[in-house]
This record gives sequence, structure tokens and C-alpha cells, in this order.
Amino acid sequence: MNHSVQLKSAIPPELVEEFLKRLPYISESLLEYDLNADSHDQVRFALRPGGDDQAAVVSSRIVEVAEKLLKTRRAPSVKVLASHINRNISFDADPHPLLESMDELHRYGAGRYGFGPRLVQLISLFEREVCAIAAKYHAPVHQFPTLIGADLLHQARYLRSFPSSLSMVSHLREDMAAIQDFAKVAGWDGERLVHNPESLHSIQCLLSPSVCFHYYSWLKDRVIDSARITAVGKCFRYESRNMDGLERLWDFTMREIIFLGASQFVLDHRDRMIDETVALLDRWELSFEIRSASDPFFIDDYASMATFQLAFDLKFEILAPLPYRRKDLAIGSFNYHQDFFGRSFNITGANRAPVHTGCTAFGLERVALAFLAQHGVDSAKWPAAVADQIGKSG
Amino acid sequence: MEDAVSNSNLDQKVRALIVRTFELSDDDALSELRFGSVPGWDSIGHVRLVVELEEEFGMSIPTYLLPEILDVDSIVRETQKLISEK
Repeated sequence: MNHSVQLKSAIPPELVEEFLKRLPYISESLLEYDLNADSHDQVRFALRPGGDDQAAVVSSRIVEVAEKLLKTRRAPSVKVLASHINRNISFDADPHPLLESMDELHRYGAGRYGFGPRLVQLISLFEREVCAIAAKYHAPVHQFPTLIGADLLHQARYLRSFPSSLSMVSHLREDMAAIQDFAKVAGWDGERLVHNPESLHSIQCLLSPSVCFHYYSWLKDRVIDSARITAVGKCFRYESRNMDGLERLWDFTMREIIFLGASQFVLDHRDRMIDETVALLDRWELSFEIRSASDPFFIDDYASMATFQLAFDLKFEILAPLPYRRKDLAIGSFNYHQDFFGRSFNITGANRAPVHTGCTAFGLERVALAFLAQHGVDSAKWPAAVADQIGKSG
Repeated sequence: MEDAVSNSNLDQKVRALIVRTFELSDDDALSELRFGSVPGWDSIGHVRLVVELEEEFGMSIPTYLLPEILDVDSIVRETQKLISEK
């Protein structure tokens, strides 16, 4: 790497991953980069061929990202709600190649995978367990579209908070000439779809990045005391070069239990979901920890939002160790949004105050990966609670 | 008595700081100033206000206190404590 830039302040260890995750979005010219391992205050980088004239711009953007990450940053106050990480894990191989050799996993592209029957059974079993928890708390099943209106994401302030992860959807304009022109030139050139951008319609919809937004929109302008539901949906978060196997997918599946009502109702339900989840993960003999966390906002005020989330205990994540990577993976979260969505969608309680909302969310592919990374791909060696059920379902 | 006087003084300073931070009108200084009810005093605004308070009063506000200081009274109370502990 032939370029380097000195940061004004060192990146604290707990922010290194977050910092590095943001660098792919700096410039299309950026080919590779690293942060010096000792002092965390210098980034070395290389640019794509022909991009050397971009070095100054890339350098200043790297400094800008670091500054925004650190602006108003406070010492982290991480809380650990549950720590079940002392299980004896004997497996430490990467499950990806093993699953591929068993024809249980097929990679279509970065962040896009297909799953074979055993993997589907594992995911379905976990989902059934979560649905049983939902049923216990009288949370009926709902179904939402994979497409989400740009208006809805605008209302949820998602467009501005997470712009880098959006996946836009378009279609051809209702114009005979544009359709015929598309059909004539459309094809794959090895890197991208060949087409005339002018033939595309303006964007009304995106691929949904989350499940619960649809429910808040469903309840828009309603007066409602409390509600609990569950839903599963395909979710899409583009993560550039950070997409990596099943750890970080562009196209993934999320099962959520969503609750809304008065603040205490939501917080009580979140506590119960945490207890239920701990019991479930214990049955699956997973090694995990539940810790306070913040969302990866892609905004100038990232540090403020992260500080606020941590200080107000708005988010807790389930972190499961991946032995083959020697790092943890977030496989689910417990979120409390205060009255943000109640205000955004004008959902009020009987007292006319905006309702509070919360959700428990599981990334199903990540749950499966954590399980396979800790227990291996041989189902004969899986915990009985899982192996017996998978056996029953064929 | 002395505490009451200094509290009153602090109350005015905190109100002035909130008005300045969120660019309110001077008339707003006497109204009920509270997180969520003042334009701009949202999640990001709250952290910004905390930074302003720290600079104004030369103190460090622990992160765990952020949910406890959501209106003028609570800010004055906790600021008073933090100043006296310096």
C-alpha cells in the first residue's frame, strides 16, 4: 500500500471494527486499507489503478470518518445482562467450506447464499422455538412485504440514518420505447447489468431492511393501548466489502417479536424476551453473552446516537463466539425505541401520548452459523434438544 | 439559604445554556424546558447539551447519568452534586 494518512486522534480499541467497516464507503477508488495495529492512528491504503489522483480526497475522507466517529464520544458504559460463555466448545473449524462440501450451502454472490435441507431444518427449528415464545405471550403471527415504501422508510428516518445500507428497487418506465430499448441492450457484461438508466422508473420502493417498520406503519394514526405480534421477513442491508459469508449477508432472514404500549409494558416485555431467549440458547447449548450495544448509524452524529443508545439502555445484543474467527457475532437483539415510532407514525395510547415500542430480533442465518461454528456440522454431535427435533422433522 | 441562592443562580445558568444550545428565544427560558418537548432536544441534542454542560461548568457527567437529567430541575440537582464533588 503506497499511501498513508495520519489521524488526528487514535481510534479506541472498541471502535476499530466500526471504523474499518466505514472505510469501504469512502471512495470507489479505494482498493485496500489497514489501520496500524499498535497505535490505531494511521491508515495505510492503496487505490485502484488510475485512481492515484484521488489520494488527497481519500485521505481527507478517512480523517473525516475518524473525527465523526469520535465526536462527542464518551467512555463506553457496556452492561452485560447474561454471560454464558464458559461452555466447553471443542469445534473450531470454519463451517462454510464444510457446508459447501456437503451441498448444504451455495454462494450466489457477496452476501447472497442458498441453503440445503439440513440448514433449512436448523433455521426452521430455531424459528419454531421463537414462535413458541411469541405464542406464549399472545403475539399473533403477521406477514409483511419484502418491498418497503420509500415513504415509510422516510417516516422512520431510516433513509438518513442508514443510507449506505439501502437497497433500492426500480422497474422499467411504462414506456414502450424504453421497454423495447431495454430488451434490446439488456445483458450481463461480467460485472453489471447493461441497461440505459433513463429507462428506469424513479424509486418508490426499497428492499426492507427490517421487519418491524411495516407494523408501525400498519398502526399509523391509531389509538391503541398495547399490542404484541411476531413476523418473519427477508431483510436487506448492503454492506459493501464487509459482507462476509453467513456472518454478514446482504439478503438475510429476521424473525421479530414486536411489542408496543406504555413504556413499562414495553420494558417488561423486553425483559421477558431476554429471559426466554437465555433459556432457549441454553437449551441449544450455545455459548453467548447479552451486552448493551448501539446501531451502526451512518450519520455525522454517530457518536452522539451511540452514546444515547448506550446510556438509555436502548439496545442489547446477543453475542455468540465464532471459534474459527476468534471473534463474536451478533445473532439477535433486544430493542427499546422509546416513543420514537409512536411519534413518527402517530400511534397513541388511550392517554393520547405516543406509544412506546420495542422488538426482539433474531438473524436466523447468523443463529445457524453460530450454532454450527460451536457444535460443528455433524448432527450426531449436536445437543439433544436440537438433534432430536431435527431427527423428528426428517 | 446559601444553597438555595446558588441553586437559583444555577437554574438561570442552565436555562440560558439550554436556550443557547437549542437556539430558543429568550422568552422560552422561563418555560418548562424538558427533553422531548423542546425543538432540537432529542437524542442527538441531549448528548450535545451534556457536552455543553460539561464545558460550561468544567465537570464530567458520567454516561449513566444521561437518562437522569431530562429537565432543568434534574440538571441543576445533578450539576450541583458534580460541582461539589470536584
